[in-house]
Amino acid sequence: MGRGQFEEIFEECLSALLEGRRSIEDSLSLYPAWRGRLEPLLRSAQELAAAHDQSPPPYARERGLQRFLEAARLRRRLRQIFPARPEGFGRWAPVGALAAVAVMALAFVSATLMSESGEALNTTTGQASVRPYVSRAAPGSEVAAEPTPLDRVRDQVAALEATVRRGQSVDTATLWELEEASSDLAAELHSPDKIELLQRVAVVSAASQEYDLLSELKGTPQGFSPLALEASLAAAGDVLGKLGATPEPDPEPSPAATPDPSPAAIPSPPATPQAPP
Amino acid sequence: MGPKVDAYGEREIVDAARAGDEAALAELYNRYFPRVYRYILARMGNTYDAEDLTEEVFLRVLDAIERFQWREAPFSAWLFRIAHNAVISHRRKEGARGRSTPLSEALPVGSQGPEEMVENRLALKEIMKAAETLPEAQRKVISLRFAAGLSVAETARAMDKGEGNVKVIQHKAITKLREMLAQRPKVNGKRTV
Repeated sequence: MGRGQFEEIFEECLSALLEGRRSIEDSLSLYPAWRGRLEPLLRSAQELAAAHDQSPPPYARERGLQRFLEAARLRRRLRQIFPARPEGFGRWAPVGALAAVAVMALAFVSATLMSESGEALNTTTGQASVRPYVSRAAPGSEVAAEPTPLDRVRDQVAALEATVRRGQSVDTATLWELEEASSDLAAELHSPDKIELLQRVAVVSAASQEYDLLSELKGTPQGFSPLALEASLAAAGDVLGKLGATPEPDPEPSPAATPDPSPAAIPSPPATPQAPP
Repeated sequence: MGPKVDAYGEREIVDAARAGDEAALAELYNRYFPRVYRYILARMGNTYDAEDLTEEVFLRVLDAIERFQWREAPFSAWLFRIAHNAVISHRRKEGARGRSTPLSEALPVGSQGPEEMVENRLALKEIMKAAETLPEAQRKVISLRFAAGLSVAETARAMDKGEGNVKVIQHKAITKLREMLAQRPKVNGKRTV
């Protein structure tokens, strides 16, 4: 028997061992002529399989699943408001992208040149003359920009998520603040068609996260007013609705949608190679 | 191994997941999370990186699943290619920052008893140390076969190699690991590999 044939036999015995179909002894008695070469390799393989049998911590699995499903929901909502690209888009997209990059590069170079020379081009006369650059803001008059409703929603959602993930209780005042910020954000969306693409994505992302987090809180008995929770949920739903991403009602829980980290709840056969008794 | 036994059921689940079905996505996650975690742990040797990267792999899956084609490779092979790429790009980033990630002492909580877990962790540590000297292809075959639980056929598709080639690489890797680990002291009275 050649080398290739031994590898075939070894793999056959190894698969049987890893799948728990046959013990090492059974394999050795099937191929007595190869016992001397097979046995040490199969014993090593058995120990390799045992060493690699490391289970992930349940918290990591659960946290990962939550993030995975949240990301899936966000993608679904974004797809609702930004439907599939029209045919032929792919063909012209690189040209469009190149043109956009070229325009941006030109704008950047012009802005850099102007700021370096401290002068602004005079475009009103149509001549190539220049006039001295004059700063419009008086020194020391800069005022910190006030947070927008979107900034407030983002900050409050991040704080709320941290509270929930730490297992701390959520108070009613936090929910009312979130409701106020979301209502302000919804009020800003009076003409959604005119909102820039990136801004729309940012708003949908923040409101989706808020909506999912509040929905999660809904079923948990906590020390906050249910009215405040409902009001915040409605405000988040309003934001999403205005951008055409109205949240769907939660589906009936199924075994797969509400997974149980226990091995019995996972329908697949054991993923780890099984060592024979 | 999972995918071989339940290939038809898996096809339905993957197709539903591609259409955005949340229950199907959760089902895929539950099926593959432990295997992806074990694969990344075997490649990175660090439970923290393994947890973070496993999460990242599933987010990459979400981005790419619509483009998955059955004719190209089984789902498991496709998924572990993504996992492999995630490991490579993470290593590249860590290399650029000049950081190395030693095998952490944090023990994962699982179905094994504490003693068995400690023993396995020590054994894995020894194996990883020994495996550092193996060629990349041999390390990858060992991780895909023993940590991810892929069959030879799936491993071959994940690595874009022939099955015969994978068998040869596997044989060489086990032989070499055995030789190297035979020289090391015993762990808890037991010789690892």
